[in-house]
Amino acid sequence: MNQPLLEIKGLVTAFPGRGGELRAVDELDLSLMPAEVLGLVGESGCGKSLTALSVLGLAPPPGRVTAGGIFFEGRDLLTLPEPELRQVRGARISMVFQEPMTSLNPVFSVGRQVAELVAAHQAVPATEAWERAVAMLGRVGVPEPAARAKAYPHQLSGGLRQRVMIAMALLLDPRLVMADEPTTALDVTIQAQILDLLRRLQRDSGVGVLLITHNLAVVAQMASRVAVMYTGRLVEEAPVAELFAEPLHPYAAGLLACLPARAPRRGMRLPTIQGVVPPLDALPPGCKFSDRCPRAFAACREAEPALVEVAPGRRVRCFLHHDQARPTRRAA
Amino acid sequence: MNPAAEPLVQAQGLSKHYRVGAGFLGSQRRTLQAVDQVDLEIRQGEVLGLVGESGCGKSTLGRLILRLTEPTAGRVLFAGRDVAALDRGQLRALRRQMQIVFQDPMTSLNPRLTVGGILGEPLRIHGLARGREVERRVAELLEAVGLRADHAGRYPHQFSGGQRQRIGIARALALRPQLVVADEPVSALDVSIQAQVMNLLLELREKFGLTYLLVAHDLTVVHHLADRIAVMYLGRVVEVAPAEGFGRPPMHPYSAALSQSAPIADPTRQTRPPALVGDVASPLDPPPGCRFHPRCPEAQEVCHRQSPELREIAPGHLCACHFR
Repeated sequence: MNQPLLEIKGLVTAFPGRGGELRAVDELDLSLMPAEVLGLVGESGCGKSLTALSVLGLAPPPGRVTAGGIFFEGRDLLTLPEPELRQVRGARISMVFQEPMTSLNPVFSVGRQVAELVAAHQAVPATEAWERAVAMLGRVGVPEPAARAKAYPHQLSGGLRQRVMIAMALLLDPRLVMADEPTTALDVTIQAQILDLLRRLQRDSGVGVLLITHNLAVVAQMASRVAVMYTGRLVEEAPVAELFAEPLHPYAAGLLACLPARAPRRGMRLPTIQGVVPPLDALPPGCKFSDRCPRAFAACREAEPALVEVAPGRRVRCFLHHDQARPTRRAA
Repeated sequence: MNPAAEPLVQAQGLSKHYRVGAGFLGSQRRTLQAVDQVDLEIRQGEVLGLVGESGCGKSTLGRLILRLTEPTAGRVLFAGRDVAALDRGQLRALRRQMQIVFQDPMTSLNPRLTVGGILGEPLRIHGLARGREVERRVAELLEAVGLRADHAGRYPHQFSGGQRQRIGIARALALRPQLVVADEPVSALDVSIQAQVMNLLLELREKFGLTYLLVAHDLTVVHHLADRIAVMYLGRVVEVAPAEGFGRPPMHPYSAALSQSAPIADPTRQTRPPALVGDVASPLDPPPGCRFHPRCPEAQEVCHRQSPELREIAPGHLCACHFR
């Protein structure tokens, strides 16, 4: 199967601003193959979560998709009528959020919420919906699922609540799950359990996963391919082993270098990326990373490099890796 | 680090229990043991990392040491003096010596004060500076944490998260303390900013000869910054060991699980199965015997009955396990 499951083309998601639209996602091209786990990484505000919300048609107003196409199983979701989109959302594409407590309804038992999801998409009797909910809770490792299904969200631990969210995400046998920081709110021993669960369920069901996270270690352990975003743009895309072995974009290299776990020696000063992410209304001209980049030269401040394929499966948005634009002498 | 260095802080049998449940509609009053019988030393000039998962009591222990929370039992000695026995004036003088940096700089900085006001206030309250001297000291502090003197006129909301954390650190340093308790100082920050703030903590430690109690859930952060690491589980300290070599056996089974659970930022390393099954028990209802026994892969009959003492299993290495 060489047809991508999800193909995002030239996606622009923008917010109205004083001087025109502010593009929080800017001309994003990204595709995900069936059964693939793609890591989408970047720091707060880079547009990684907004990309996922845009796929579902859920970009928070006044933000909206202003250009591009989102093709899922061959259909453009952006032109799909709302009733059909609703059938895709939840059933064919589902989402796991960071904080299950705010995504679950506090006044209904978790079993009822899972069962309602069955009933919303399939015409089955209530008892069968409940039974399927209980079975799914069991599959995601909720102990004593028949009893726990009657519990309310606040009566469950954070780890169990996240299992419930995963049960809901996988219940209707979707083809794509977008997981946005699924373990960020969890303790480390619980995180290990949830990551293990996601890995096993992914392998068994062959579901494609878009794993959105700031945590590069989670990506290293979960994804086969990784895309790095900065200021709404994709700056590098690579097979995960290649990115970690040799990041090409200076931003990706900087992110990896500043991880304490990768420091050669305890207690040493960590390499840092100077400065801060610029706000969307004050992006530098040229390459958006040029004001923080230790390797920027004159051309970087004049024109924005394109995202160019430099090797099979490797794309990078940096003049250092564009043959024709490579400087003969590196500016300071 | 001189291992024989005099302890700056000694916590002895320190406990903090909360009564919860007001007996409303017949619900029982119960006791939550946030911190239970903790003995811990912080040596002069060291960085002691305090790790554990949510609800293990690590933040409460930090606050007990600063006497921001009154203990239920036990005592804290600061430079040999019992903190609880001090009168108001003495306690106030002592407060200058120990300061705290919080996790979320947005909620811990007064939004109505300028940064100059935030940093100048402790100087004025403690009578350390007046008039133009305050301005000069504020400028010095801002520069020490990598900000500019002219930032003094701005308000907290005008700064980024990383810069606000620098302001929080500057405030802690204003009184030139000996001890800084840093409670999750980098966990709210983005990866690249996290490294900047970690470097700043290292730099300031050298510059001002600080002693840190670094409370954090992220073992990679603690391992990088700390000289020694203390591990807490359900209100108890289960291990204290040098950071160098931390994670290598012999280790408390919980510490071993913690260090195995953190995902590794290296895709060529094989993923390991989860080290622990089940959830942390509630501190409201801690298990009898060793509190870790329901999740411990090595638990034996004795662990159900008897709580293991924290004892030295190798020079400088304390562990509370019957089988170490």
